[in-house]
Amino acid sequence: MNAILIFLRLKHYTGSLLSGLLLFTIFIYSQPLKAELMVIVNPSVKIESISPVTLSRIYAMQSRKWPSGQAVKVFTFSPESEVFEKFTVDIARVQTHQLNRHWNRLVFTGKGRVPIQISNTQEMIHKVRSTPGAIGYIDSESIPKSVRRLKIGEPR
Amino acid sequence: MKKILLAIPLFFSLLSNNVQAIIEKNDIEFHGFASQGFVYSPDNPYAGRESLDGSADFRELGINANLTIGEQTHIAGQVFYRDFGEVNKAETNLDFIFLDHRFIDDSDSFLGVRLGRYKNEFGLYNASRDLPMARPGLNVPESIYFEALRDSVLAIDGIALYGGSSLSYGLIEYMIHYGDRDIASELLEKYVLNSAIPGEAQPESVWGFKIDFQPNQISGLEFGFSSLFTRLILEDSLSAAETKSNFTNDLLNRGINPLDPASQPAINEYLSNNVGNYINDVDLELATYAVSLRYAFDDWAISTEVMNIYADASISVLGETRSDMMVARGAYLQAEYFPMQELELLIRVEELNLGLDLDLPNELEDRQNATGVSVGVKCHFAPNWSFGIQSSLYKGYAWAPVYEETHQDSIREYWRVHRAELSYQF
Repeated sequence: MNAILIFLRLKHYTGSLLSGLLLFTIFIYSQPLKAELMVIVNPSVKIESISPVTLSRIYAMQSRKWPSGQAVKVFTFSPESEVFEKFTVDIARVQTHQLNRHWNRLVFTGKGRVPIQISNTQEMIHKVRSTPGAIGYIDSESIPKSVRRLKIGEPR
Repeated sequence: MKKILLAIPLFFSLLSNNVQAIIEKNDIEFHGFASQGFVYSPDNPYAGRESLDGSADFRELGINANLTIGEQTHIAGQVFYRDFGEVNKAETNLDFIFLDHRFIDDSDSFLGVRLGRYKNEFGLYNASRDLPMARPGLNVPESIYFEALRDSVLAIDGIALYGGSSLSYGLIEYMIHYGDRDIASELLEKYVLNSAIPGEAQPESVWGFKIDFQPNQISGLEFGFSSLFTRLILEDSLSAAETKSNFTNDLLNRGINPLDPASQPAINEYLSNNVGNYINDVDLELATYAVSLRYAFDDWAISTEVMNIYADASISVLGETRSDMMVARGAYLQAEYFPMQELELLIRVEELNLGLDLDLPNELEDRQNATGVSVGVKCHFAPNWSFGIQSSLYKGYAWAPVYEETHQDSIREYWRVHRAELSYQF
């Protein structure tokens, strides 16, 4: 509605061509932004990109340190969530069912721990922001403040 | 090795002053699982005769704790309760408890040690065979992980050195371990010889190594090679003279004259069916190797393993020693399909040949081989919950669990086992 009012006022003052261009611009920007799955880290993590292989090993808890020597703190959503499946298959390129079983084996053979489960995006952002060495992922329209987005590098 | 196990509670007690602080820092985690199973095997007993009419005497319960001490060290322990028909009657064990420390732990490699009782990571499934949520279908492949060897290989009291390196072409993980393990030898003796032996067959030592490789080029592919070496010796056994004396008395009690040449067929038959009672010495060296392959892609996971057990057996019966080299072979191929996150479908074919070449009682001849096919479905119907059913058709009895009265039951060559299981974990 606001866009229409602005258009009518602008038409009155500037003519139809310019207002038409402005209306088109407003229309484009008034469309909902497309959410995008992104890997985020705490600002203390000093890398710019990560490969799916490294990501999969971090989430399998096989790699527990960043190249700087800092401990990795891994956060994830529930294995039942859609965003988890999207992350594992599309970004980390591992099969959800295999990662789940791997985590079960880690816990119940005493070899290690599994990523900490987070229930919603805001909590994920908060945990990654406040935990040195943290890594997580979100399905978001924009990069939240005080966390860094990692580029996903070459598959291998 | 028992000293090592005793040292761990001591270690815990030394930490006791810090326990509250550790809990407050979330450095301790607790997890657990429980399952209730139902088995119906209308043709042959499975882990006891009750399964012929359907038995719910199959349940598992595990509670574990994982205590982190800094970034490089943790202590983990698990108590495990198991009711498995007449094979395990409501037993509770310390499943594992160990101290784990990493000397090297960086982004590309790690090297660590485990000290205490740790799970033996033989093959793809040995370490997690008791965990319902990690099993393919409702049970691990019986051709490789058959029940008779479960006690011997499940966990080891000792020391394990493990590590891994992320190389340009893939990830290599390895483990070498050494220790021992007291086992309930009676079922193993019955499995091999159809009767308990006077004395206790115990592993003198157990050691092994494992190597796994995950290539970077093919995501989801995993190769593995596992080995396990153990030597079983007979402790507290009878002397040769004692077994001979017992044998003579037992024959006379059955009206068989051991000095009459005409009684020889009866003597041979009696000995063949009761050979275990007159064994005075056992020295069994076992070398077990398994090659594993798993490939998970899209909604599928294909797994296969091949195992050989080389047994160098030296067994003395009535003072006469016979040595044999035997080779047991097992293999399976299974496909799992995951059409959605909540659903798993399984099909598995498998085969086991025990290769036993001793003077076996006649009925054990039927227990030398087994082949089978299993199909199953498992549904994760709620977070942390699953329910599954599985049906198997077997030919042969080689991997059937041995229970107290196994040898008294006649068996059919073709038989079915239907299973159902409800499980929960947190």
